[in-house]
Amino acid sequence: MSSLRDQLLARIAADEGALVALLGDFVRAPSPNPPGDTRSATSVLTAWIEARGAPFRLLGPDPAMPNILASFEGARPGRHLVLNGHIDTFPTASPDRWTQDPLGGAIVDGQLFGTGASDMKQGTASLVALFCWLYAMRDQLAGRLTLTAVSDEETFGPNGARFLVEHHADEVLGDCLLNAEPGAPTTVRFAEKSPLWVAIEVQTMGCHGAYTHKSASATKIAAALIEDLAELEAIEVALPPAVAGTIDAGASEIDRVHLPGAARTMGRITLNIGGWHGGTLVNMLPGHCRIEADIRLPWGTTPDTMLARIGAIVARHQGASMQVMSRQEPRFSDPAHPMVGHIQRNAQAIAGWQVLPIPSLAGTDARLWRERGVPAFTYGTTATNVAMADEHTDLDEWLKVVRIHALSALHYLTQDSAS
Amino acid sequence: MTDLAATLLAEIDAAREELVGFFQEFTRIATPNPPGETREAAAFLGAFLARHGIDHQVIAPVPEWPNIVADRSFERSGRHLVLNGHIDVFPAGDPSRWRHGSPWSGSIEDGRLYGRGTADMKCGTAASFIAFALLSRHANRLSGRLTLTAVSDEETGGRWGTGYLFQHHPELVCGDCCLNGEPSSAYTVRYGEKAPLWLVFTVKARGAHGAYVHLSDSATKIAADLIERLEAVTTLKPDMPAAVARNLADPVVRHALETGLGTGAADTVAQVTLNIGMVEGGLKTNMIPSECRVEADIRLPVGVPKARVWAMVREILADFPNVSVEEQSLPEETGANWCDPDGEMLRIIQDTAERIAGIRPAPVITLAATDARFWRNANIPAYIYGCAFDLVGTYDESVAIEEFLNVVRVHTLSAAAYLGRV
Repeated sequence: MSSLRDQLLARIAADEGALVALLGDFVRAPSPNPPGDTRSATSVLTAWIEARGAPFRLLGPDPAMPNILASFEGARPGRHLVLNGHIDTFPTASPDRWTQDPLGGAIVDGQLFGTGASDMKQGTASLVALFCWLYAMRDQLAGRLTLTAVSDEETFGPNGARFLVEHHADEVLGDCLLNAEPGAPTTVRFAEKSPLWVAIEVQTMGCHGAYTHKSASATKIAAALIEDLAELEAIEVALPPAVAGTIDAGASEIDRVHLPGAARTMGRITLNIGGWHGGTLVNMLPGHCRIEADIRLPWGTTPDTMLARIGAIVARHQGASMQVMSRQEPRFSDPAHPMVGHIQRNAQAIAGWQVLPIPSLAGTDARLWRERGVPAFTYGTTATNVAMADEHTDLDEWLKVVRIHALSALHYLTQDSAS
Repeated sequence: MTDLAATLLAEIDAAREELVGFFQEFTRIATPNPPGETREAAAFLGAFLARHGIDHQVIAPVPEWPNIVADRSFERSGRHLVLNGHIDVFPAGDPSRWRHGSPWSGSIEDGRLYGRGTADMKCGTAASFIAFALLSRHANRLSGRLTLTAVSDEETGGRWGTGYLFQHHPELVCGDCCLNGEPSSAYTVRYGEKAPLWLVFTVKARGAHGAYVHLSDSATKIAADLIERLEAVTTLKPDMPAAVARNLADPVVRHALETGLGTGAADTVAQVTLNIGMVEGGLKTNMIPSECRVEADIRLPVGVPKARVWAMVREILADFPNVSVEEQSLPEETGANWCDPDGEMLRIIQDTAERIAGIRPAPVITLAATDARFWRNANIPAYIYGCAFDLVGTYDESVAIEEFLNVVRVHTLSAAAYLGRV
């Protein structure tokens, strides 16, 4: 085992310069979504894979949004590890406030700058590289390794990971998923709160704004509804002990990474009124109003339970009706899964980081695996200026995370023979 | 009935075809505002005056939005009556939804004349022109002065119309009384209007990803709180002059209001009302909104000056440090406008209307704003009597021909009575 580890670390060390160049090239190939044309960015990755002789395919319903699917078998039977990252990025945020060219990939004081440099071209590049290193070592591995680099993550669209898990489940689900979204390298995320998106429409007769006796007001009803919906946030949810334990143990780290209050937010139902649109003119009494509620459910409740509560609130308000835009069951993977142990040990050994398993507030494509029963874990670098001006990645930290990714995958694919 | 009144009625009957034709042709000239281009209609109205031997002037601070003024002083001195109407009308909406294929058809069907602006207010403006022309023929039987003002730019605030005349030609408009033919229905004559106070609130927050509710206040949630708190303005109790309070308590007046404006209208007239006309917040479902805009339309009854509402709004906003507010209505209007509900011209209109239409119109304060406010704010009584208002702004906007002729009769005879030899 130790010889495999050393062999892998030697490959990484030899490739370090090329790897940094790969990340620069990847950042310089724009892939903002929307619109989501990722072809040039994809070709940067496929050129790397081709040069190392590994097999791959490009798949997807939209030719402008290719997904890379690559896979190999080890020398003997074992478990199937799937790697997942995305190629697309947010559109460049606040272009006028950057101090570096957002498409330049410049390295300044050890930081590589550019749109997507943090979210998540660094993570996807890391997975592509580790796939190729382990491909070269496949004769010594058990099981199977699959790489998915997808093109439609930023808008949770249908053409990326969702396409693969729906149409190529046999190839991409596997036994365990490792996702490399940025966050904090001192945490591994084993769960995500589940978004429940509900649109509420209010219809009334409407009339001239001076004639308030003639019609109920859609905007006022919506205001009262919003106030009533606040009761959802007061609901106490009994978290499953495994999740509650990690939140307790990781509270200070959660608050450090996601700012004070995050640990409390983690275990609670939260309500965001993401959109509120009603009326057309100041002096007309609105007959229509729409609000969009983004409710985040912790583990221990279900969308059905919540929708019953919301339905009861909506029913109290004249002319109000609701429709579900999006729903997911809150799920979590086992925080004591072997992959968590691999990441913890390797992070300790490579960087001296003590890694805690924590749930996550926001969503990643990992949920698509988790909701299909596959344990899924997210581990990556510190998210730095994601969706902001001067997005960047610290190369020193990244190269440590690259090693932790690679060694953890190696351990997962050699575990049976490692003892 | 005086001889003059009988003569005028006979002249109106004799000219019936011409008068209906005048209203119809006026309707056929499109004057939607925006954009408010009224030059063709103004030329048409000027030609009508010229045909009747009447001089007029065009006052056009904005060339596309001309105002027409005709002014006639009679030999014997007396009071100065100003007739006021507007040429511009509401936008027409979707032309295909009009039953005669166009908002400007002027088609007559079942005794009604159809078209955008027929009720608001080409009927009333046409009546003013006809009244002016008829009275001009009988100058020797009248005293004082009669001024006709037909303005553009009423629908969008009046800055280049009546407002401009008050600012730059006060000698024309600052008379002793104003008569206006805005729609009122035969059941009411209007002596006052609630004042609009339009406030735009902007709520700011830091904003964040929608899952990270610990990172930022929510502009939309703050807006919901604000809207609930603003409801308090509707509890302000008016401090009304006795004449207005008496009028608003009069069962006949209350009945007229409820009949015309719907159940509850009599109370609405006397109360501060709050309409949240618009709310706009948020860009994406999963982002905590960093901004939310709330537009409030507050209507003030007589006896609640704007300053009182402002004081309350400022007190509420003390609890909302991230909310700013701006007035969208005219800051120079300080509150509701009204004139004497027992005034002489009001009695004249009531008596005349009762004789002509068989209905004694009740004196009311209304909810919608008209240019009559410019006179009332200058302490000049201004009264509104016109056709029914329930089809204003609809795709069926129309006026019954007989109703139009009654408005012509009531305006002509009321003006004659006001300026008649005492």
